Amino acid sequence: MKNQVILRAGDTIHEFGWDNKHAGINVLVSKMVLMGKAEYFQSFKQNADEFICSLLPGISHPQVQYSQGGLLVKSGGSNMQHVTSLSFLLLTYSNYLSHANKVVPCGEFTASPALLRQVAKRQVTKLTNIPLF
Amino acid sequence: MKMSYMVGYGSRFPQKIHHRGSSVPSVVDHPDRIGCKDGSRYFFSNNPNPNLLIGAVVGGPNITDDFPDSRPYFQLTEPTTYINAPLLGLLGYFSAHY
Repeated sequence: MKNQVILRAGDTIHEFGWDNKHAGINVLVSKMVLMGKAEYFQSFKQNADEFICSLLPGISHPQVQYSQGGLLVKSGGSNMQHVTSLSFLLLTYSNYLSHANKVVPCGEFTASPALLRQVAKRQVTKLTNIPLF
Repeated sequence: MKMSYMVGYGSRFPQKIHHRGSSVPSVVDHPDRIGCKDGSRYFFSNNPNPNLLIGAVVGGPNITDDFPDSRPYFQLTEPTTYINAPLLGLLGYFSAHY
C-alpha cells in the first residue's frame, strides 16, 4: 500500500502510455486481488475498475471520447498510442476477470469480460479497417 | 477514416509516413551518401515513400477522423514503438482466440 503512494498509482488512473504507466500498474496489481491473493491491494482494483469503465463507449467520461468513426480518442498527440495501449489493457483485464469469474461494476450496469474483449477487438478492426479475425 | 493505419494492409493505407528509412531511397537506388539535412527533399516530397514499412502503425487521426497523409504532420504519420508494441499483444491473442 505504501508503494501505491510512492508510485502515485492513484493519481492519474486514466493514463497509460509513453509518459505515464499508472493505469497499467493498477491493472497488473488487480490480478493479485482477482486471484484472491492480495485483498489488501483492493484500492488498486478500485482504480482499475474506474479506469476500465471510463473506456467503455456509451459511458460519458471527460477523459475518453469516441470519434464519429468509432475510434477511441484521448487528448495528447499520436492518438493511436491510446487506441493500442488502452485496448491492450481492456483485453488484459478481460482475461483476469474471466479467470476469476468476475465482472466490473460501472455505476448502474456491469461490464462483462466479453464486453471488454469486444471493445478491444473493435478498436483493432478500426485500426486496420479489414476484418482480421 | 475508411482506411487502414497499418502500412501494407487494407486497400487504403498511409503512403507518406514520417520515417527516414521508409521515405529516403534505398542504397540500391541511390548509392551516394545522403547527409542528415539532405533528407529534407524527401521529407517535403509529395511522392509516396519508396520503401514500404510493412506492418507499421502510424499515429492516426484524432476526434475529427481527418488524416492528412503528409510527413510534416508527424504526430499523425509517424510509426512508433509505443503505438506498435501493445498491438502485438492484441493481435497475438485474437489470432489465437477468434
